[in-house]
Amino acid sequence: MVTQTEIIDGCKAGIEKYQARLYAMYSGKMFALCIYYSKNRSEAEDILHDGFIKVFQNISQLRDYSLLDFWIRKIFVNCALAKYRKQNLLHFELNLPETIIPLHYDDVIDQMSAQEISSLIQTLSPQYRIVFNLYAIEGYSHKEIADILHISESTSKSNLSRARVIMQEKIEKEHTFYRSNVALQK
Amino acid sequence: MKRIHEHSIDRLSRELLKDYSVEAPEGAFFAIKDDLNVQSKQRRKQYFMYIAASWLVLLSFGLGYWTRSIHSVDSVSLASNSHQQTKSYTNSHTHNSFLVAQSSVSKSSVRNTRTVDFSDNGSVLKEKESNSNNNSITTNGSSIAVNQPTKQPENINAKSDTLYNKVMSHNDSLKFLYKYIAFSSGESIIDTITNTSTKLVYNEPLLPIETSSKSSWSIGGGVAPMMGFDMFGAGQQNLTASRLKSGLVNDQPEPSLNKSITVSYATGISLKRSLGDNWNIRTGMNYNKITESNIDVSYVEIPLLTEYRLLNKALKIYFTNGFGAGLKQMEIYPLGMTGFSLLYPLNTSIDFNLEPSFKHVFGKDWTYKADYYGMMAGFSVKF
Repeated sequence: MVTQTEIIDGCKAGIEKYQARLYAMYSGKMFALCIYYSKNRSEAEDILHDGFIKVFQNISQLRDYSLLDFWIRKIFVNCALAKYRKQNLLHFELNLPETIIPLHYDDVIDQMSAQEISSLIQTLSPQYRIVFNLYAIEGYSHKEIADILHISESTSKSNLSRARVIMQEKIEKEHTFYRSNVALQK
Repeated sequence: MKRIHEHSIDRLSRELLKDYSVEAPEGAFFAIKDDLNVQSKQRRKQYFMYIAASWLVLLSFGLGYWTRSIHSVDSVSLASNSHQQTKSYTNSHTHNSFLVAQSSVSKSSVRNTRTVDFSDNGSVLKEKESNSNNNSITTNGSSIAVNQPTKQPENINAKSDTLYNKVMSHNDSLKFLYKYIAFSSGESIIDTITNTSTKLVYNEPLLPIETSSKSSWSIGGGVAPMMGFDMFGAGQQNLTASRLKSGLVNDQPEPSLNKSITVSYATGISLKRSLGDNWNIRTGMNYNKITESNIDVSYVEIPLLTEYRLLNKALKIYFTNGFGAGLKQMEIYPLGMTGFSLLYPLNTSIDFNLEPSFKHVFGKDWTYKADYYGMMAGFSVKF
C-alpha cells in the first residue's frame, strides 16, 4: 500500500508512477471543479491540463503534506482564474442593486444533482460564475475576492447577488416546468 | 413548503459539489506528461541560455575593463595631470625639445621619460631617457621619426599606445601638438600634428588623467532578512483551508491567522562598475530562501541594476533601480527592483553597505507571486 507521503515524495522526485497515482487520486474531483469554473467541457480540459502541470512542477514547495488537498485545489482555482484573465473575460459590473427573488423550490431542489448544479453554474457569465464559485464553494470572503480579482467589495457583493438571482430564476423555471409536467401527467 | 433565503443556493452548491467527481478525459495524463517533458527541456535550455547570457555580460565588463586598462592613456583628452607634470626648457632657436612619455601605459604613473632634441628640419640632435627617480641615462641611436604621418612602421605587428602631448610657449599658448606612439616591440614614432617655430618652449607631457586610475569596480556581499506580503497563492490557500477545517466561511472572523506574512532571507554577491561620477551599473547573484508553514522555496536571482548617486558626502546614497530574473528549478521569473543603497567607507577600499529595497515578482500565474521588502547589509571592496 503506497502512502500519501510516498506519493508526494515520488512526485517531488519526478517519478512517473507516483505522478500517475496522484493524478488518479485527484483527476476526477479536479475535473469536476474545472467544469463548474468553465463554460464548457473543452475549456475544463484545458484547465485540468494546465493545473496538473503546475501541480507537478511546484509540488516540491509543499511541506505540510496534510494540506495536499487544499494546495491542489488552490492551484486549480488559480489556473481557472488565470485562464479568465488571459482571455480578458472578467468584466465586472459595478454596484448592481442586490435583488432577492423569493423561490418556492422544495420539489425541484430535492431532485437536483451535483451535475445539475454544476451545469447551472456553467450557464452563468464568467464574472458571475467566478465570484459565485469563490464565495459559495471556496469559502472566500468578499474582501478576499476583491483582492484576488482586483475589484471592490461592493462589486463582488453585487456580482454574487446577480449570480444568485440568475440561478434562482433558472431553478424556478425548472420548478414550473416540473409542476406543469406533473399536472399534465395527472 | 419552505422559502429559500439568501444563502440557500450557496449552501446547496457547496454541499452538492463538495465530493462531486467527473471522470477525466482519457489520455489526459499522458498529454500532461508529454507537455511536462517538453516544458522541462525548454526551461532547461532557457536556464542555460540565461546563465550563458549572464556570464557574457560579466565577461563583457571584464573585457571592457581589461581593454580600458591597456589603453588608458590612449585618450584624445588634452587635460594634463597636475600632480605629475614635468617641464624642461631650452634656449635654442633652432631646437625643439620634447619630453615624451615612454611606455607610460600603466594606469597611474609614467615610469620613464624620453627627451628628444631636434632641429626644425626634423633631424634628431639629442635623445635622453630618464626613469621616474630622475636618474638620467643617455641612449644611443634613435627610432624616432619626426613629421611623419601616423603610421605603424613596417614589420611591426604590435599594439600601440598613444600619447598626445602639447608644447606650450612662455605665455602658455599652444605652440606645438604632437602625438607619440610607443609600440610594445619597443619602437616608437612621433607624429607632429602642428608645428610652428618657437623660441622658448617647455614641454608638458600629457599623462593619464587621475580619474583613469580611480577604482571603478567593486565587489560586495551581504545578507538580508526579507519580508514578503501575499507571497504565495498557497498562503491564501492556508487561510481558506483553515477556514474550511474550522467550519468558518466567508465573512465570519478569522480567529488567529495573519494574512500570509512571511519572513525569509536573501544573501549574495554583487559586482559594480562605475559609469562616471554619478552612475553605476551593477549585477550579481543572490540566493533567496523563503520558508512558510507549508511552503519551502529557494531560488537564485540575477539582478541588473543602475544606481544614481543622490548624496556624495562621507555617507554616499544611491537610488537603485532595475530588473532581474529569478531562477527556480529551471523556471525563470522576471523581477522588478527599486531601493536605496547607502555606502559608508571604512577605509579607502572597503565600504559598509546598507540597502533598503523593494522587489516585485511579476507573473500572475506564478504560484508565489510576491512583493518583498528587505534590508541588505554587507560590505563591498573596491579594486
